[in-house]
Amino acid sequence: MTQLLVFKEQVQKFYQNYALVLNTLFRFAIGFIVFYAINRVIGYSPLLNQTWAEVLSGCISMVFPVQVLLFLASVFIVLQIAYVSNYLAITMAMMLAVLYFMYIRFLPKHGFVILAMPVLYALNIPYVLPVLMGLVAAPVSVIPIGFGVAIYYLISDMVYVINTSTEDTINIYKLVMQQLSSDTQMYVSVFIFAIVTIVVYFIRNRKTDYAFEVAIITGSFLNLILFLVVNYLMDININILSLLGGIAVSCLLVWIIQVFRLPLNYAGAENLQFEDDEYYYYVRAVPKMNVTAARKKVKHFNTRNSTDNKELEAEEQEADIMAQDKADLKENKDIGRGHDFDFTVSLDKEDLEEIEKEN
Amino acid sequence: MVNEEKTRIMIKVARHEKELGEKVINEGSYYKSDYVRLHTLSVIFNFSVAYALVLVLFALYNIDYIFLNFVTINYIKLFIEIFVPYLSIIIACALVSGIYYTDQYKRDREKIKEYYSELKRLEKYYSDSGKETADDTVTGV
Repeated sequence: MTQLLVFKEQVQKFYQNYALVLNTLFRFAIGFIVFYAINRVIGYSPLLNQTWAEVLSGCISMVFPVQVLLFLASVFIVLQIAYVSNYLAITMAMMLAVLYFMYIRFLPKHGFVILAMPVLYALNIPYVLPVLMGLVAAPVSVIPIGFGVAIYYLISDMVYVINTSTEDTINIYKLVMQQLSSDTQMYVSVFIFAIVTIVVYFIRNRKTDYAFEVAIITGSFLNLILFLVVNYLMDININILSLLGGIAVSCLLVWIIQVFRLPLNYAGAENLQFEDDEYYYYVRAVPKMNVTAARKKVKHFNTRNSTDNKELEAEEQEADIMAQDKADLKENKDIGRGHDFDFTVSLDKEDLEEIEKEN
Repeated sequence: MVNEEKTRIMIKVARHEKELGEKVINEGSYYKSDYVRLHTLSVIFNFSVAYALVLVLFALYNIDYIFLNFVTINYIKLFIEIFVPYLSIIIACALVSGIYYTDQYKRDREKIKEYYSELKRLEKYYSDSGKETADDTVTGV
């Protein structure tokens, strides 16, 4: 555990130093994974189903805001489907537009959850999201998770119908909708993920030790047990090995995210840029690391006679330490709100001459 | 020379601007009724477009039936069946968004209050030092 804490601190420092580069790389990785996953599920178009397309999409999401990734992913899905069926592509585009106008337009953050679900399904780790959302979000996140599951099953039903159908007419859309409405696995998954999200949310809110860790493990076990029970009762044909592997990997992933979530959230330096009448200011605000040195306190209980004085000394020391701690805490409170500022100011020749004169 | 005190105030202002975003700050100057009406109209427009798309999807699903019974369909009944749910959805949207955006307006105002107090400090700094700036947007880029 100590090694992990040391490693955590090292990662934190590393992230603090290279926050800009790491964030950019992270965004590239997210973009690449999204388009890689789409290509694995519906990689019909030979033009788009190529590594360069995935890398290019990763680069685009590296430069543009995250909303653009959402839009590009939707366009990518529609284009891939359009290669095999124009009717399905049009209806898919309309469904995504409905989702945008009624939901994502107002809650853009939920859009990323909706997009993440099919991507994680493609990577066989959809069990990450309900546990993670239970940990970091409110129970209302069952709605985007539900939409995400529905979109994944809609795409897989499209793939099924495309593979079995011989003609490209508007009837293909009717077949897809009929297939989707009779897909028991979709309903079951939505139901189980909703339960897991809510249970994880309530456990992590308990004021007990290791509430987050307990929530992760309980959520993962609940996923496993519910899917096994439903598989047994309803015979929905779930691959047990893939389920076990997926849940184990998901549990590990969520735990890693949980370990690094809070420290890294506050570790990143902030870059600000503004100007006044005289200067342009490029400010890099670096959060102060509140590391307190470990204190050792030894109490002797075996030597009764000589302890009276020592106990007094120890009590005095303890009082000092408490006073120091309070002072530290107050200082940290003050620090916590602010940042340690590091100014970079562009000076022209006249200013430099003026400084030299003053010196 | 760079004035450290002024720079610190400006840093705080810039951080608030970054945190709140341009949209929230611009909308901070709206009257409550204007803010709520504008957002409610936006919700109604978005839901209307989405409803129209859902109708098209529904029509495509039943395209065979529509082609076969094109002449015999009772269009008045169909219109009522389409229009009544639309009207009830729009009324519900207007009510919900009215409540939501009234609350959102209050929360946004609280957020930008601190930003305004920092701006006032900056203004006070300028007036105290006798250097009043004509441009009130110089703090943000």
